[in-house]
Amino acid sequence: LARADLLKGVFAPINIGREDTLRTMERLSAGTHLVASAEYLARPANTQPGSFGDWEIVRERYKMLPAWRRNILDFVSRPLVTRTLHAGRILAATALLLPTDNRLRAIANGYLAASSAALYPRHNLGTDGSDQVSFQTSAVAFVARTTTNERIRDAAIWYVALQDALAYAVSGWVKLFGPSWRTGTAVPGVMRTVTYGNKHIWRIFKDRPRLAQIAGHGMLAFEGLFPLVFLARGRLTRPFIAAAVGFHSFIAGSMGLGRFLTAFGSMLPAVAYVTNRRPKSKAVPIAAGAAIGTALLAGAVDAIARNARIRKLRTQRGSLTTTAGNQLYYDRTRGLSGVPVLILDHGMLSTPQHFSWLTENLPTIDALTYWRAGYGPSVSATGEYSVEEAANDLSDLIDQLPEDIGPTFLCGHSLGGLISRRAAELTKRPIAGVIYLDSSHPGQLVISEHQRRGAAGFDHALTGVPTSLVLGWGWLLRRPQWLKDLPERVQQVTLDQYRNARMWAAGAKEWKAADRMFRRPRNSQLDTIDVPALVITAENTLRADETQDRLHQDLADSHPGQAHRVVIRDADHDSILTNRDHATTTAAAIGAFMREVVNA
Amino acid sequence: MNRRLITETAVAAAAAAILGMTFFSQHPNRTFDRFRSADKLGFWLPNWRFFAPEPAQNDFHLLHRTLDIDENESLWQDTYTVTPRKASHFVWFPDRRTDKGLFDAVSEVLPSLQKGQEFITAQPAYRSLESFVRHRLDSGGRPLVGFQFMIVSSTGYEYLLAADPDTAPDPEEILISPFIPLNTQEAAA
Repeated sequence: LARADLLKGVFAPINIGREDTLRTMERLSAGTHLVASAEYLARPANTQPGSFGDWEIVRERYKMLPAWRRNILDFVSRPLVTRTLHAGRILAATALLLPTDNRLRAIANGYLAASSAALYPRHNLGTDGSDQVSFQTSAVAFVARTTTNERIRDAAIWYVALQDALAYAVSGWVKLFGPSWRTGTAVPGVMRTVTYGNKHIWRIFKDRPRLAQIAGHGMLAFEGLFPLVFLARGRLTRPFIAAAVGFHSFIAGSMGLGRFLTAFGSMLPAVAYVTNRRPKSKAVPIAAGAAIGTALLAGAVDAIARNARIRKLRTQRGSLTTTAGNQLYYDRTRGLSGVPVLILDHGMLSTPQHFSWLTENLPTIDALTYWRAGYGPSVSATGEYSVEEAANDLSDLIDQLPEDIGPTFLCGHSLGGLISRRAAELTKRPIAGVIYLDSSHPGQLVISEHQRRGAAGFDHALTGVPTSLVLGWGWLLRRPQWLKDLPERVQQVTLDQYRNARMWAAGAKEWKAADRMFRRPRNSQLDTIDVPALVITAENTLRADETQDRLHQDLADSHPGQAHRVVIRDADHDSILTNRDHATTTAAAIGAFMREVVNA
Repeated sequence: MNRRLITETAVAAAAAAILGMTFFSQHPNRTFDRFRSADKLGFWLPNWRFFAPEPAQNDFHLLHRTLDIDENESLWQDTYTVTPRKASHFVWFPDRRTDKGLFDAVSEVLPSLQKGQEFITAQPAYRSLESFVRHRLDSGGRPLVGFQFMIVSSTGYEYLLAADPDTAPDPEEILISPFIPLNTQEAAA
């Protein structure tokens, strides 16, 4: 009987009322604010020059804000004002810890939320998740205290409970994308650091991989499964809250994150309240569920529509099926007989539209742009990629052009440079010249330490992107900075490709293929190609990595006695095409080179 | 609709909107953080991706060396040491803010490493680091003409407590600043 009672107790809802929920939430949150402000006051040097809180430097981060907001930040960031605000926060937090009345609690919560917001930019470097949580709970408690409407108070509490569940669920599920969490090495990995770890705990885990794995996976299970708390009519509330308190206590002690215990603890009473069937309103979970569901659905529809727009690019365009079975689509700006042709090959994770400024500035030639297999409307027969296959595709494209076209030049940006170079060797047609636009080099990862470091982070940058785009998350991709630099007429079609899974899937596969090639040790020089060449380098590429000069010289040397080099001032790897001025300069260099070759 | 119902609906709608924005701002790949641009100060739209997808498993160290007026170059020395864990950190840890500030500033500089020195040195995070070092130079009594700093990543206790330092993984250099001249007033100080 005792055992049954105990079980009943463990799986019973927590019978907490609305006012007690609010008070507990406020008190734990007040504890976080109080310690945070006392810690700031204990270290006045942390706002002085030479600290990470030196406002003279930190304020530069907010240059984009309107003047009135910057003026407010400048004012609250004066050391005396900052200290006064912190002293006020200690008083407000104390008021919430004491049994004060509703009005005073509303003022105290309002002050804590507003001062958190005002001081957050000032303390920017060094803030953490506990600051974010304590702001949320104080702001919500303020809303709840300004009304006697029970349904609004319930809405406020529901908001906190859902944010709490989201916090654990996100933290748990996102960790599944991290190899160290999946394999179970994350816990000893964090514990070995002085910043967030603990040498005693690290010693326990370092030689016990199984234990480390159990600890890591246990943490993932607790976090990821936390939303189940809403499904069991309060029966899982006590176990999950107990697990949460244990979890944060462990973190507080081992990682030195004490404020997280009270900050996250302040959200738990809300979870207890909304799972005990006492709230009068479920408007917030219903509205939030509807909003998220609708957005997911709209995102999926948006993705389908975008895909259809990209397929539509197949109409009224040149196309061919290559030897490898790939279907390529291309555009020609003039298509007249006898006019010099410039065939442009785009970079990895890029589009033919990136050449828009370039082709606009070369009005007298016939510019041909195309999508490599897998990009935009072009189709890859096998889904497999290699530079050799891409070069063969390009060579097939050149070979099937009409007999009466003028002198043919190949121009490739980044990886496209290598593909163009190889296609010049493969095609049956005579090639008048090859133009390398800030091109890759087959040996770049062997030769350049800088490139090796950059490559290491690249895999990570592509993680989960194609799948998310297929699922309809494309609308959440930030507009890339370079997009607004392109001509307005191509911005939409470029954004469509950027937010579509195809470009990222093709780019990811190309990256794997190129990475293998770039890492292959090579002793010999590049094969020589007996056609004139122009090697164009963006100045910032040279600034970032001095070995690039050698790599680009190597490309030039592979066209013995027939290569020119040009550096585009102030341009970087992308802006050499996307920035109108840089692209105009680049186009002028290409135009001059083509004229020189044709007239020779 | 009465006023009460309108207020209730407005509160629920606002709560749902923020919850929705929060939900859609947690993708493991931060390229999907479109909504975060709405939170310019970075405090009201919660980021719940703590230690995820990959947690930091290294410590960052700041080191510097100086050049004095007689052209004596000092050895590289630690500018700042991260606070080792103490039991009191459970409730009281005022130095956490500086440790975290260093962590944040370095994390912010990391993505721009590929963009070249000129770009890096213009970043506010870089400027914070430079100023942090500048105020911790020890001239040893000789006027200094300049300094240089370095950010290093180490495997923490795995490196510090290694029984045989030769087998411990070497700390890795992340960034070496250019030589930073000090003006005469600072040199005199």
